[in-house]
Amino acid sequence: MKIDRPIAIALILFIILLLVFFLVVPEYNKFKILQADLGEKRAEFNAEFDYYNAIANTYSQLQTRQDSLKKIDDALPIESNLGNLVYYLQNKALENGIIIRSLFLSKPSAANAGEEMQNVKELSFSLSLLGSYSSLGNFIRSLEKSARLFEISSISFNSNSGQFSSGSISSAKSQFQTPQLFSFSLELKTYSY
Amino acid sequence: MDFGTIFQLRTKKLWWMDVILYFVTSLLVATVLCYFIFLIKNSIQRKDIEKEIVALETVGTYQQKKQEREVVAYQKKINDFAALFQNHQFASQVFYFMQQETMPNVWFKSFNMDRENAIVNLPGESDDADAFSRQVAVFEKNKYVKNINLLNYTIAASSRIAFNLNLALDPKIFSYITGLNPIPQTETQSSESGVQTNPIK
Repeated sequence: MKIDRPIAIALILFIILLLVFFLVVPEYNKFKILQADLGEKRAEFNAEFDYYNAIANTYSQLQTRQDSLKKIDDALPIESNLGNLVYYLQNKALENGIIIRSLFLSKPSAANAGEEMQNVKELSFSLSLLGSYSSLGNFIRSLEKSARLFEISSISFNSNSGQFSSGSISSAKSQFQTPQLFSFSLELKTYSY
Repeated sequence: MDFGTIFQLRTKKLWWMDVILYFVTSLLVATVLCYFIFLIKNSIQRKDIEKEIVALETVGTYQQKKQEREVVAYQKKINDFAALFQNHQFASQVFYFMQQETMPNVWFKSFNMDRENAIVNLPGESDDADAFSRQVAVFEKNKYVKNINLLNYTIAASSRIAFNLNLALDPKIFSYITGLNPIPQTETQSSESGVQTNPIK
């Protein structure tokens, strides 16, 4: 059979064009899309794998530092535990030779240490105390050493200064060195979730 | 149009016509091959994607999610604690400072701390202006007192001096790591000036 070459060439070129436009190019486009999809899925898998690996590492590190975590849990408890708190304050006051005459809890408010700490509540207490200056110093120190985070915002000495001038206090000693009992007001802050 | 030339191409047997014919034929074969190659490749890629989806389901199990929740919760808690601790003020430092620096014949009614600006407000009374001025001098000499930014006094009805002082303190005094804690209480006094010996100077 004799082939008419120019017509055959033209026909083959036409078929090639048809094949390219209707089969090869669409399949190539699909190939590119699938390739990108596969890349995304692989990256997602790798990222998740690395993330959970890091989580597992951090988790195991946390497990080895339970003591430190407990300290943080105690310093920043999930609940206010007001009963325990009041009991603790009374105990600490008695241990240090100071009497809590009154305790007033103001409304819990959000801590103002930063925007990221929106869940942290600030509990403010006003304490009226009776004791000597050294007992007050010991009480403050014991609060600062406690597992729970306490912050003293102000201390007021409510005792009458006339006591000082009337000679009941030795003028050789300063206000803070006298063993007499005085009234104090303490503004105390603590935190919880 | 010169149809003679086209007719010549059809009748004459030209060697380059064969070359072109073979070339376009091989191009056709290559195109078909390409199509099948892409078909196979796409099928393989679909399978790979399915495998990746299955693999993704194995990551983030219930156990891992539980660990993640715990870690994130502790991370937040640690950050909150760190922020609180960073801003934490140790009032005892200022209390010890007051114990050491307060002179006889001077009476402070209260002390209020402004931690952010490291300022302590001290309203009080003294026997006389001399005692008050010596008290101010003692504060000024202390290395933890940066300056006194408010100072006023009036003679009260009892002929004593009622004063108000604002001490701008070095923020280091509020820190636990100052080496100041605890400041031992001393009753030693300078015989000449009546000023107490201050171990934190």
